[in-house]
Amino acid sequence: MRISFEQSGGIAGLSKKINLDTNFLPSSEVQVVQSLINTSNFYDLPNNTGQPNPDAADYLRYKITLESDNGRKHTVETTDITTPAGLSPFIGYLRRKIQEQRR
Amino acid sequence: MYEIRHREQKWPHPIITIFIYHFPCTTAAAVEHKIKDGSAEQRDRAIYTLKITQFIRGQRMALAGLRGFAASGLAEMRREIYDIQNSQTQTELPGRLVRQESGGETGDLDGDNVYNNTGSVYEFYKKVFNRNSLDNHGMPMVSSVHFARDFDNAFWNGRQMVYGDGDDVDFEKHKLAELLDVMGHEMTHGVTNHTSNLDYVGESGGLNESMSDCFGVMISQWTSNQTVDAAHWLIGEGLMTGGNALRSMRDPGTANPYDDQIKNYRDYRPDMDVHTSSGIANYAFYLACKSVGGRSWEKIGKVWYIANTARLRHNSGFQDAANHTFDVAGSLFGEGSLEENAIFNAWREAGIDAEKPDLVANVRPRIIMR
Repeated sequence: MRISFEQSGGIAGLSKKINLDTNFLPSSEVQVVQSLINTSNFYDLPNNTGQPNPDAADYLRYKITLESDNGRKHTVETTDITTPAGLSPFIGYLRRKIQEQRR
Repeated sequence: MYEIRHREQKWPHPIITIFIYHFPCTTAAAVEHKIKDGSAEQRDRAIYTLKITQFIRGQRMALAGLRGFAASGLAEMRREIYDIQNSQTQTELPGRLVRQESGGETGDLDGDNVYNNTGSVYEFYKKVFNRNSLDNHGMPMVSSVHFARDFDNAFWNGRQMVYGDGDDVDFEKHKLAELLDVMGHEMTHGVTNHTSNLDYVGESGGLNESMSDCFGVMISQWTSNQTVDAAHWLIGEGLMTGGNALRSMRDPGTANPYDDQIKNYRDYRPDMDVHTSSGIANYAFYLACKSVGGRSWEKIGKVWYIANTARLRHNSGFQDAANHTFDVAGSLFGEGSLEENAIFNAWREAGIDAEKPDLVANVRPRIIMR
């Protein structure tokens, strides 16, 4: 499975991106990823989780795309303001992967 | 130096003359009567009068607010600091209350920094512009610290400020909570929500962001009583591990290796991030302040405050901002004044020629009687 994660906006207006392929992750981590995807009901989420409160500002925007080895593909776009509770841990994991990459 | 473009209309504005001539003893009821029962011509004229009356009243209130500050205290300041305990879930905001007004220190570095910075921002708006909190009605100023884990952001969710800890990879840890201009930036989003309410997209979004930077930088300068020459004009100095600051108002686009801010309207594209296009108005503000000299909040800051709170609308763009700041400077300091010239020239350097704004079109539609 391939995971593409993009983060943009925020007070800095910075864009950061990471591409992961679970075939190259340790199996223990693949289990973690799978459980995060299941918890979030990722494939049942809409492509866009909705517009943030129009009064809000400086929130980060996220775009996650999953593509399984059998070709199933789904993209979800969300923000700090509109992230569904179940998706937060998965976004937390993906942000940490970006940090590891940039460290 | 550039010449000021000829201004077509001089005060007393021709519309004001119409108003005085046709409605010598205007009351809301009389105007309403003309709107309901008058001829088509009377109705049009009455609606016109209402718009102008409302507009002048708004201006007068903004100016009166500025004059009346000396006697006011800070008695109504209400701060609330919460700990969201590393949760990234919006519905869990604000989190656990850790400190409120007059409460003792929490011992948490970020919580106490945010408490103190909120106080400085409140004090700035109160003492300089006689504004009582974000809504000017003393609303509590709510902040949550420790949002998510190693989170490189601070934001305004439309009701409160939210702070991450920083990850020491891109943002230094604890800096978001420590920096006064970051707090000034976030709280100014709240002020803008309650006034011009600039839409957070396109040109109005760039202006919204710029207002937050302009007042953020002014608050830092005011707190240390800095002149425009002594100030560094940076936003978020020391925040980024790999750069000087988040943004530079003196030289947009140079604060860090990722800084892509523009400083001229010719480079504007509608799909830009609002933190990129905000450089246009940041640069105009900086140039105007430098040209006038002294302290930013005393003259040019006052013009920007009136523009944001009494002139700009939700869909205003950079041209509107240039027009209104130019016009407000003319009203406050006189036509052809140093300040008015400085603002005209500053916007021209940022790629926009200020024009006399259409004050009737500017009036918010919601005040027109149905």
